[in-house]
Amino acid sequence: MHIKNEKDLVCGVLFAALGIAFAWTASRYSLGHAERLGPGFFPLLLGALLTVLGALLVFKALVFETEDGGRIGPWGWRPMAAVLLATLAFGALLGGLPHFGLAPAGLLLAVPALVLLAHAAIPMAWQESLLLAALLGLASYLVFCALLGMPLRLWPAAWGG
Amino acid sequence: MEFLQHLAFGLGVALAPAQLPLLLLAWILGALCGALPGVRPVALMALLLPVTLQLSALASLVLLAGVFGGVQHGGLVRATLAGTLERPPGLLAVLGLLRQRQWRLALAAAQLAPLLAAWTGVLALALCSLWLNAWAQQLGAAESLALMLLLLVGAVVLAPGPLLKALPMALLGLLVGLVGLDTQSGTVRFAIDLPVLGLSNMHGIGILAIAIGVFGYGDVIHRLAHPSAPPEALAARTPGGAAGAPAGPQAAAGSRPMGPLRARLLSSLAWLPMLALGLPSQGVLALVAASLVMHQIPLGARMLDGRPELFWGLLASLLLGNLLLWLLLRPLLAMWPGLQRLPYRWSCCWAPWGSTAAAAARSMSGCWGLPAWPAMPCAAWKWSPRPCCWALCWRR
Repeated sequence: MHIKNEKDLVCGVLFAALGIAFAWTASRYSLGHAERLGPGFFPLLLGALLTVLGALLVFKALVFETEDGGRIGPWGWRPMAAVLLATLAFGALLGGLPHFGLAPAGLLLAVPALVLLAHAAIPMAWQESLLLAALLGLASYLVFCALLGMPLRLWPAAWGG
Repeated sequence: MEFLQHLAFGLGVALAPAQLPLLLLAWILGALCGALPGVRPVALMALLLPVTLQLSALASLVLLAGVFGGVQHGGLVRATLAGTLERPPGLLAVLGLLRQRQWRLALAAAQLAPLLAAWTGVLALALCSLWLNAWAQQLGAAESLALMLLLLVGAVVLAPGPLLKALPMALLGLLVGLVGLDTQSGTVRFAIDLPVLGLSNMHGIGILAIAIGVFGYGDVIHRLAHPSAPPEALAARTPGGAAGAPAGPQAAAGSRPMGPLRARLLSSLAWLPMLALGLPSQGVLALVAASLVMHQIPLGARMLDGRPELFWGLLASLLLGNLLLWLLLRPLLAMWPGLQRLPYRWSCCWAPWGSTAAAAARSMSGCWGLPAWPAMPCAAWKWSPRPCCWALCWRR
């Protein structure tokens, strides 16, 4: 079958999948009865509605003609990976991961890690990265520690201090 | 007279040392951001959202309102320089005075007109929201529910883009709001055995994660992935387009750009539905609503009743901010060419930096929700996350 609108198709499938997932999970909770609705009733209703709307979008994408075919275009894998990985690394280094026994490492390590990850994914000159790391480090200290007084570590506890 | 007393009270609150530096910072930051071609105000405000967690409700309101107002005026500066506005401020009025040979008055009017227009807008906002509030006070429980439903429908209908995408987004927002502990029955819903989503997290998935993910990260990733994408139409970010009349932002954006005086006059009125009824008419205001919800401030009419200092402080901060930008207009115009040369790719660092650091200090569980959301490429595909965010605001 010829796809007439790629974006709408993907949206519809995504919505329908989410709706089915929510509705299916909700059906395992008690639905209650008309006088006293259970915890599963509202999510089941919403999930079913979401599925129906997703299906409608899929139908629209397959039937109605669009000018440019609603092409999705290239995915921005590199920036996406850079932003997400940098967030995860920065969060893990700054706050630590108590589940895995990782202690907080502090700003001094987290900021360079962040800039390094961004450097790997997005073309930047070395001087620019260094400048950015310095600016971010300084800004972090000024905003979060000095101005807002947030309890952030500056360096790992193992280094003393 | 009572009105003036209230306004003086608001000025006192906004000029307090806890608020004043934030006010200055926010308006200048917003104006710079509005003058830059690449940075979108929604992304900037979403990334500022975690910072507001560390502030008082009033200070965060002043901060976000300042960024919003500054962005609108920065856009005006850009549009003036780019020549999309048809005539310099207040030309007609000044010409009239010149014709009557009142030279000194004409000069003063030309300089004061933008400020007076902005102030008139803020005063109109104050009067309108007081009037609407008085009306909203008389509503009972049944009317409130009806109003909430109306607003939910309004959020869906007013969202840019097709209805068939706005509606599922609102539903999705409601569903995401259900994750976590059900206060009625004590059941933990949709936790998929993750402690982060289950009992250890009483508040479910935070609106913070959603707002930053869909408004902030989505935008940043999209801009980085398509550096050559044509910048959005200038009119979309000047007050005439973006703020527009509260009732019809799309209609305003579609028409030709407004004159700067009218744009300044209307720029504050975008707050009206938000202050009087709790309906954010734009994505940016949905983020302000999110910030208020995080501070457990009731939205809409109850805010004026319960927390008058927020309402009057906000109005006073709008007055002061407009004054500040009026004073700063000339230096801003001079700085503009230099600002344009800042590379946008730096944002791939500042985006994770600001949001994570602030979220991490509060609770780590907040920041793990962040990376899951940009996977929904809202910004790229032109569907608005606003209904989703807004539905989350109203979940309790």
